[in-house]
This record gives sequence, structure tokens and C-alpha cells, in this order.
Amino acid sequence: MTPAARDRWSVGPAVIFTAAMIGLPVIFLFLLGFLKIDRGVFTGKFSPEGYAAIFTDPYYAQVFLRTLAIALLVTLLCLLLGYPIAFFFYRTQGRLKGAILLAVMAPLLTSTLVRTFGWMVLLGRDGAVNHALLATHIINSPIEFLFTLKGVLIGMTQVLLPYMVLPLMAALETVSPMLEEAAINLGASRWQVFWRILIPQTLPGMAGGVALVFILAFSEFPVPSLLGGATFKILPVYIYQTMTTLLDWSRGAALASILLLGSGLIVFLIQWIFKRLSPWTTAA
Amino acid sequence: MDIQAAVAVDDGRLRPARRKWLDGAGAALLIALAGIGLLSLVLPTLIVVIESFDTRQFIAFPPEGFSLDRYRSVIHSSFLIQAAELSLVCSIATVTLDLLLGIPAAIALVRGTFRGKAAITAFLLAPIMLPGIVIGISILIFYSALGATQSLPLMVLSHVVFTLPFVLRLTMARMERTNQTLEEAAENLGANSWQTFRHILLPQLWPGIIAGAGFAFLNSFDNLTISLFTAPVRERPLPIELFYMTRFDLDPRVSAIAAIEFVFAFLLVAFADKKLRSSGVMRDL
Repeated sequence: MTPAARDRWSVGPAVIFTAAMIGLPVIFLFLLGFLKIDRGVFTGKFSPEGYAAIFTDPYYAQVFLRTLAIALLVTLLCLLLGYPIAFFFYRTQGRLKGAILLAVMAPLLTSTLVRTFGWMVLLGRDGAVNHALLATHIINSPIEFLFTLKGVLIGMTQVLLPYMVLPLMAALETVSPMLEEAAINLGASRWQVFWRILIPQTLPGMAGGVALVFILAFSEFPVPSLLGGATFKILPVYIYQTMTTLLDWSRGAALASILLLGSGLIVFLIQWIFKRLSPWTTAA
Repeated sequence: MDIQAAVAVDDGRLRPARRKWLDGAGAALLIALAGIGLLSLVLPTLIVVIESFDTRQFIAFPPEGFSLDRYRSVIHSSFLIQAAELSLVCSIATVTLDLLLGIPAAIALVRGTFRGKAAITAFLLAPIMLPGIVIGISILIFYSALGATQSLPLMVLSHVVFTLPFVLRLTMARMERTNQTLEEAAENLGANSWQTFRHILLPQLWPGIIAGAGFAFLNSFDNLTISLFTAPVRERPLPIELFYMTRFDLDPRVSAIAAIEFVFAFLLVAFADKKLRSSGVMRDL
């Protein structure tokens, strides 16, 4: 076999598989919003109904904006908690460093369902968090976390936090210690070192983490549907209901297309903003 | 980067005492946030494991006693055992297909010299950026149009779509660090393609392959969002059963299953960590 033929036979199957299993289906998904389907049966008639309804009914705009707001808020919360974890990891040595890495990696290996279930136990009316807060007299009556926005935000932030911390850890590792030493020799305070050296140097890693967490938050299904309940309407939950209970596939396909395009567009915007913030780097 | 500009030498606006105080406050804030974050990462899983030994017939914290009732009840629930078996079969089939498609492709994508290599690599890794719900719905709709139904084979294929990039990426990262002269030497000494792969490449690639396969396995076993659209409707995989058990009422058995899953994943990671630590494969993740 010639080397060229060998390469063809090595890469070919994977390319054919990916094209057939996801390339064509995604293209079909975009087109489907224009076809009429009745309870899973294709009628073959052209009708832009799927998309038209979405763009005319303000209800969808509301669901879309709510999803967007929650995804951005979760991304911000992940950054707010994730950067300190990555920074702490960067500054510690030995056993503690290993323990932090384990705490960040372990959730990635436990299913989202298990962790969501954990939050349901923690956040219930009779859950551990309410018990602790009542016992310490911080509150007088239990807080309703489950089936509210608070619960969804807490759960989603926790589930997505590792995806923010890992790129930040990698980014901090690449910062040269000489920069910090130089800054300190020139009289910078610790806060200035953090704000003027570490943060700018890790912007590209931050861009990666922010984009990844945003995509995942924008399309997260199990957490909002369990912690938010059936009436908590954000795009992925609504798409699931449209597909499985309403059996309206053309509208489901149209909504899924919008989810994909919308998240792609916003990730593009995020990358653009980070590039403007860090003009000295070309990689993002 | 210009160090002078980056540091912007202290302009003397802050008096030393005030600066020290600000440094202290900043450090305290960072540590507090890191503490909250780390606690939130560990707490839910820990609570589930503790809760799984409760004696009561419902979920509430803290537990009021110690028993293995919930574990007993899980073992005697035939639908849960069947669901776990289905998930296991699906994950094993998924990983097998991942390796058969992924390893040859990864080697050729690093070593090959054909046109469009970068584009093909990007195309094969793209599914990682696709939301699960989009993957699930696209496959369901497209293959329904072609007459397929929700079944184990469709579920396996849909899982390969999103796990293949893990295997590809980790194997490619290892492949980039191999030394091509070794392969050339083997070929000059008369080794055929298979012998070169088996004796030269595989010993260098295996940490990446194992990590990719492990990651693919866990992700396939735990997947809910894609399976909801592609899994068989009658015999359901474990994550879907857990989803329904959690959704309609907080079934206490979920805590026992969760604890078992957690211990299993933990052992897998501890084992992998011991075997792979020296190979530096964690950096490729």
C-alpha cells in the first residue's frame, strides 16, 4: 500500500462517519424548520411555519433572552469562583495542590445527574443548607431554592465550574515567574501584580474558559430541568418539551437551529471582545 | 510584552499601610471565593454518599441512622439492573468504535502529508463544540426520515459522535510527541505497517489512548441529553431512568446508585492516575 492510500484508509472511515452521523443531520436540521411534519411523519410540504412562529411570537424572544441572561450570569459566576481556585492552585505546592486538582477533576467524572441530585438534597426545604442557615440564625424561615432561579444558578455554576478552572490553571502555568519578580522588584504591590501581570497574561486562557462555559450553559438541559422544574422555561428545556410532549418536530428543529446559531454567534462575540482586551496576543 | 508598561511602577498614590491593608483584603477575598468554589465542587457528591446510608424511606438531610436498605433495594430492582447493563453495553460498544475509527485517523492526521489536513482535523473535532441537545435532535430527525427508530445501535452511533473527538485529540497529542525516526528505522529494518504500529507506535501512544477511552467511556455511560432522543424507548439506559426517578419524585434509591457510580469513577481515576501520572497525559486533556 502506498503511503497516500494508507492515509486515505486511515482517515476515510472517521470522516465518512462524522459526515454521515452529524454533518448531514445538522444540515437537515436547519432545513427542517421549513418542512411540515405531523407527529413524526414527514408530509414533504414546504412551510416556513417552524421559523415564522418563532420570529413572530414574543414568547420565544422572552425564552431566548432568559436563556441568554442565565448563561451569561452562570459564566460570570464561574469566572468569579474559578479564577480564585486556579490562582490558589498556582500559588500552592505539594499535597494541597494535588487535592485541589482532584476536587476540580472529580466532578468531571461524576455524572451531572448525580451532582444535580446532590443539590436537590442540599437545597430542599428540609435540606442541609436550610438546616445550617436556620441553626445559625442567619435566616428565620427556609429559603426556597428548588424550582427557582437561585437553585438553577447554583447547580449550573457548580456543574460547569471545572470547565472554567482547567483552562485557567493551564494559562497560569504558562506565566513566566520572571515577570512577577520583575514587577515586585520595581515596587509593585501584590494586588498590582495580580491585576496588572497575572490577569492580562491569562486573558487568552480566560477567553477559552468563558467560551466553553457559555456554550455549555446555553445548552444545559439536565440541571435546569431538574432544579428548575417543568415550568422553568429556558431554551433547552423548552426544546425538549416541544420534541417529546408536543411532538412538534419542525418547531423543535427550528428552535435547535436557533440555539446552535445563537450560541455560535455569542461565542464569536466573546472571542472578539477578549481579542480587543488583549491586543498583544494573537492566539485565543 | 513590555514589562515596564505592564507593571506601571507604583505612582505613590497609596500609602504603605493602606497598600498592605488592600493586599490583605484582596488575598482574603480570593481565598474566600476559592474556598466557596472548592466546597461547592465537592459537597453535592459527598452529601449524596452520606445520604445513601439513611434508614428513612425519603430524602432528607442529615440522615437519621445507618442502613444498607437503599443498596439492597437497588440490587433487587430488576429495571435498574437492566438499565445499568444497557448503559454498560452501549459504553463498551461506543469506546470500541471510537478506538477503531480514532486511532488510525489520529496517526494519519499527525504523520500524513495529504492536502486539507488542517480542515479535516477541524471537521473531525468539531462535534465537541456542538450542544448535546442539537446532536440528539439532529440524529433523531435525520435517521427517522430514513426510517430508523430509537434503538441501541442508534444510541451507540450518537455517542460515538461526541466521544470520538476525545480519543482523537488525546491520541493526536501523544502522536505529536513521538519520534518519526523510530518508525523509519523500523521500516528500514523490514517491519511492515502493522509491526511498526504494534511495536513502535503503540507503546508510545497508549497513555493517550487509555485516557481518551476512559473519558469516552465515562461520558457515554453518564450521557442523558443525547440518549433522551436516540435511546430505545422501552428499555432505557441508566441516566434516563435516574432522570425520571429524580424528576417525578426524589426516589431515595438514586442516592445509592449515585454513590456506587461515584466510587466506581473514583477507583477508575485513581488507577488511571497511578498508571498515567508519569506520562504527562493529564496536560493533554
